[in-house]
Amino acid sequence: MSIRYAILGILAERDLHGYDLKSSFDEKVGDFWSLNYGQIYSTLDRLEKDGLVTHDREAQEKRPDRKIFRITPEGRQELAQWLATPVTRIRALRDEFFIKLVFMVKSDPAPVLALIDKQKTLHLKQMNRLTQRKLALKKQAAGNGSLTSELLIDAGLFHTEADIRWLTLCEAKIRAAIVQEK
Amino acid sequence: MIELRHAGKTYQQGSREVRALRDVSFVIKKGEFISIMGPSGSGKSTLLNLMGGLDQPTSGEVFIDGRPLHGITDNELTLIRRRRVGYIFQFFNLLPLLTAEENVGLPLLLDGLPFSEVKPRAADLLDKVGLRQRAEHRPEQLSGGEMQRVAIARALITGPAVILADEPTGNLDSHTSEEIFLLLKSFNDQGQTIVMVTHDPKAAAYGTRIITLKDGAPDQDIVIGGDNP
Amino acid sequence: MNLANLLRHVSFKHVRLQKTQLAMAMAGICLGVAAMVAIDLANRSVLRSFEDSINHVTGRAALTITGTDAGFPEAMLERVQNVPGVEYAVPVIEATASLTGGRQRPLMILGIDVLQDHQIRDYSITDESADIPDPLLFLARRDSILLTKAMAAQEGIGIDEKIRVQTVAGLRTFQVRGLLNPSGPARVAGGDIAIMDVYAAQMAFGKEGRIDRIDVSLLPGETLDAVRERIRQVLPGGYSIDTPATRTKQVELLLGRFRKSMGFISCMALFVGMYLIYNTVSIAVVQRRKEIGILRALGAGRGDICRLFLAETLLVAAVASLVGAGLGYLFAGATVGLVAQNVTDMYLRTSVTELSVSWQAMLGNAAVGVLASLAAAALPALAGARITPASAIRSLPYAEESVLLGKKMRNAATFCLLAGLLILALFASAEPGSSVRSLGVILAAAIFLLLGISLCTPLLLRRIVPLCHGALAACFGAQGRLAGLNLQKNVSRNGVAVAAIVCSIALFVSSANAINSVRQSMFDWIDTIIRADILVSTGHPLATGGSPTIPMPPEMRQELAKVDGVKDVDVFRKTYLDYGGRKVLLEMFDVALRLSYCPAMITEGSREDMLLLSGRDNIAVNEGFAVKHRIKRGDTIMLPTPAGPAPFTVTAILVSYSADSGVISMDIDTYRRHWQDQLIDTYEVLVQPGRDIEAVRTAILARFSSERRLFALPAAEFKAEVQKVLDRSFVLTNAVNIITLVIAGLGIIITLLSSVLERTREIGILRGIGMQKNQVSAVVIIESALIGAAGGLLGIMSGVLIGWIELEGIFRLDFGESVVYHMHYGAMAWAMLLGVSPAALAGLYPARRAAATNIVEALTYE
Repeated sequence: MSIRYAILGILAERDLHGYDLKSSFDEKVGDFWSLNYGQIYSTLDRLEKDGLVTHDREAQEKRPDRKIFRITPEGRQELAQWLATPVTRIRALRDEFFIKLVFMVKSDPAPVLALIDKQKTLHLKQMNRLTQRKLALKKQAAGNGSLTSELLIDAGLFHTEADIRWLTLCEAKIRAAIVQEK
Repeated sequence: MIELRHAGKTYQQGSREVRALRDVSFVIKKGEFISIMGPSGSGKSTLLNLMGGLDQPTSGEVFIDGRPLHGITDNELTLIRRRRVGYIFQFFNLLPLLTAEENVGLPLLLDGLPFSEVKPRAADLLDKVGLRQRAEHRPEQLSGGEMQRVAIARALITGPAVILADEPTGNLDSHTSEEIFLLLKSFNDQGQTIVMVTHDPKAAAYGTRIITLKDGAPDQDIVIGGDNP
Repeated sequence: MNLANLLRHVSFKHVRLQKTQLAMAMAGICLGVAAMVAIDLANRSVLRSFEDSINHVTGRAALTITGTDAGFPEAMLERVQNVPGVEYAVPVIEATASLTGGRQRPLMILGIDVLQDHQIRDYSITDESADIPDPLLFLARRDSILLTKAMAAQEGIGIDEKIRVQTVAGLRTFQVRGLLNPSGPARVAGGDIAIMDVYAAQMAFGKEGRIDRIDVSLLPGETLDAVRERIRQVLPGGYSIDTPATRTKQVELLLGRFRKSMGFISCMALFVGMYLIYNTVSIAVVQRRKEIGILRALGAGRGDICRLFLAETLLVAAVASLVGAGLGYLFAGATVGLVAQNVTDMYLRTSVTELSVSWQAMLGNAAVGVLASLAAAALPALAGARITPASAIRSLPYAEESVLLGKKMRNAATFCLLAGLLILALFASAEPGSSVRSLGVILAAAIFLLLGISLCTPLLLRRIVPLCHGALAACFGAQGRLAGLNLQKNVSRNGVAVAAIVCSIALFVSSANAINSVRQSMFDWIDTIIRADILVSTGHPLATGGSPTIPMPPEMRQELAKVDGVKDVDVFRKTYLDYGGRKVLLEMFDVALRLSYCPAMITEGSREDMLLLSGRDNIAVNEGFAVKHRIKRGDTIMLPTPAGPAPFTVTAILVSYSADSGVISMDIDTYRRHWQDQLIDTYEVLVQPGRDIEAVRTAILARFSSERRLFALPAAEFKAEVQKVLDRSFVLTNAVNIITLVIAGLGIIITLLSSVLERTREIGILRGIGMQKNQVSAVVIIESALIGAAGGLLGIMSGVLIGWIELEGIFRLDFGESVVYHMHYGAMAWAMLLGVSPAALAGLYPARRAAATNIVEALTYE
């Protein structure tokens, strides 16, 4: 799902042909996300079909023409919408949220901070749900297997808490960076 | 229950003016368990102090049960603190010389009740927080979790309109913290209004409503429907 | 109810933890109250004994008529007896004599009309002498005398035995005709009294034709005032017609300054005690800041907190004051003899045999102690009540440094100091007698100064301590440096400790300086006025002090002059007279002769003005008298003489410390002319140059040995004896000052102990980062000693200033005489030692505790 937006994000910066697109992708998120050319081209195909990307042909000597991909206005809109939407799948936070951070416009931190806020709220709600479930579990007679369920919920709580703390740190560092630039 | 209308608080620190709280408005309804979150310096404790009548706002209004906390004399404020508010602090703030029982009964003793009358009520509450055996112990003989339970019992003894908790588990480990929250939650389930200030998301998650503060003003007000996942 | 709960459940728990401080605070108040009670009881007992003797001696007399001390013509007796409404009017001679054997026991001689006197006084004669004292026998035999049973038993004298008594007329032999049971006049002066016929007494005491007093009883139905008025009509002016009660009042007035100064020094002890309480409560408020915060958060009102601390003080002070009152009673037993001695030395002969215990007075003094404690606790209690719950729970246990070092504080300190100095300058520049020169003004100055100094100690510490770092490091190494840093960093805490020490030491140094100034000034004065070579009198100056001696007849002057080696003989006579309702001392000497060898201490006027005294109706008065009665040179005042009031012109103003209420100097011839009194108290002999003084002295004693017992003391010896008497009069003052010192020491220990005990955590950290035990001890002790030294230095400086205030404001205002300010360097050295040594001592215990601190516990301590 996110490969679409990653490609849209890269194209939003400048027009690229497939090969450069792959290099740029590797440079930015290659550390934890590896793609082959096939995956890239099939994604580009689908994006073109959805009208989010178009391409121009560039003539080459001794070789077939190269396709230079360009993001359409619809593509830009789709990208912006995605960026502003917090991640719902909690476990996927670091993967997906990080992609978003990468493609956020550096000169304008406001949307980033807004995103962090939304993300934290989401996490808090998630923690609250987990806590409610734990309380409900406690209320039922301490049956078999309830301890393991409780421990699992605890694990979820601690992970989510770690995410919230990380997000809080992100926010603090971004703010500090703004202050420093000024 | 508790209502803040454009409440603000400004401190004078040397020649500098510090706006600890600016224009806070919200209503806390009976039976709510509110978590107030925010980073250090966001005005959490100031807000709690205003709600508990430990401090008075420099602007705006604060009401408990429809009664104003602003513009009243210190004595009236004191009486409200004594009878309508129960406090739980991060560092427990028990009087080290008093036994658990006396610490629990202190608000009633302050109200002039004879200890013979206070004692059974304190014993009852100590029983409820699971410290029946510890009534005669002094704080130094209790563990951190036990001290905080004594503090909870103390906060409850007057049957207050609201319990205000300031980082109640800031000094406790995770498991002990959970026990404290379960205790608070159980009193909340019986209808006790609780307002808790914390920067711990796990703690905040016990609330039925989470208010986050940023730079002395409310940022988000998250109301959580009880059971929907 | 509320308060009772707090006391029971909160305060009492502190007792266990702060036993030491509490005990010391209680000891302070206890000693303060004890000093007050002791002095009060002793003073009361002395007055009571005067009252008793007046009542016993006056008997049923409703009125007593007196003239000057020298007596008045006996013709007046008949006049009074003829006044309508007078039932009986009897003559009395009161004189001092002494037995010759043994220890020269002094006794009071009562000369009475043996036929009439039983109408006024009761005499109960012992069985074995029952039939003997026939009045006619007394009239027929002039050597008859009655002694008290008590004295006779003590001296081993029996009935019909002959005794030798020193009188004005020289040594006389009397025959004991009977003994008196202890009732009526026989109870006076502890039984040291003898009864004679009035005529015989006149002969023996140089009062031919004169009497000292007429005692009058009234016919039934007559009113006191009417009869008094009628008597006044028949007598010349200048006579006092008093009831026995007003005579008691006069004694009270006479002793007024003495009682006041005693009262003042005992107040001083209490004042230091108050400071102790102030200090202890302040420390308690600071230490219990968090507790106050919690209580406030839980709903204790400001009033509750304030009342809590006041109630604690009340309980502590009540217990301490009651114990103090008891202790004071014990002290009084030891004190009363001293007080009686002082009164005898300075005013009138008295011997107090029993303590007059007044429960009301003791409880009253205890109540004063409690009230003073409450007053002292009020300020810190209010400060405690002002602590806001929010700040107390969160912040440090100490008041913010910024408050103590802030601008407001600096302004307040400056204001207080300036106001104090300004008031002082105003006071110093004001004319004597002007309204600015009042006790209130000078006290205000003292309070402003003390307050100002207390307020600025933190600021001073902040400024001065950094300057000493180098020296500290050089002397004590790392520990010294650390101690200095600690001192500087905790200015707020240490400032309070230093201020407490400053006040204690200032009070001690000030009273030591004031007392020393009075003492030195008097010594200097005695040095100036005693210039003759040999002083001849009938009483040893140590034995008689300031009370009347047995005077000598005037003829002795010629006889002394004839002794080989004598160049000249000056005379000295003193008596008291009534001026403006007060007894004023009248001193007479041969002015022309005196001025030829003795420099008068004249403050206004010249030697020539003094010479104007001789033979004429001119007088010189002392400063105190001049200020009190607003008399200037050239004024004419009326003095009561036996022949009625007579005008005298003041030609000079002198320095004289002879009496509090005023001194008038007159030429002996003028006095004789007006008073018809020829007697002399002291002959001051000038020896021919080159002659051996000791030889002349021996010659004098030999010449008179058969006639009378004399003391002929060389000037140096005489001065030494007088100085001994003076020093004796300061014994009590010094004793109270020592009590003050002890209380001050307690205060210092409390302050330092509390300040160090609180630092368990800090010490734990030091130990934790690798400081050795003895190093920790050294830091604590050096720091305490530094606090003590700082307090000592500032305290001595303030003490010098306040000593001047005490001298000018209290002594000078009351006494009127100028006194040269003499600092008491010894006391100052003591004060410094007092500052530093209890400080180090107070540091010792916490230092040991500190060294023994369990590091882990100290660090985990909440």
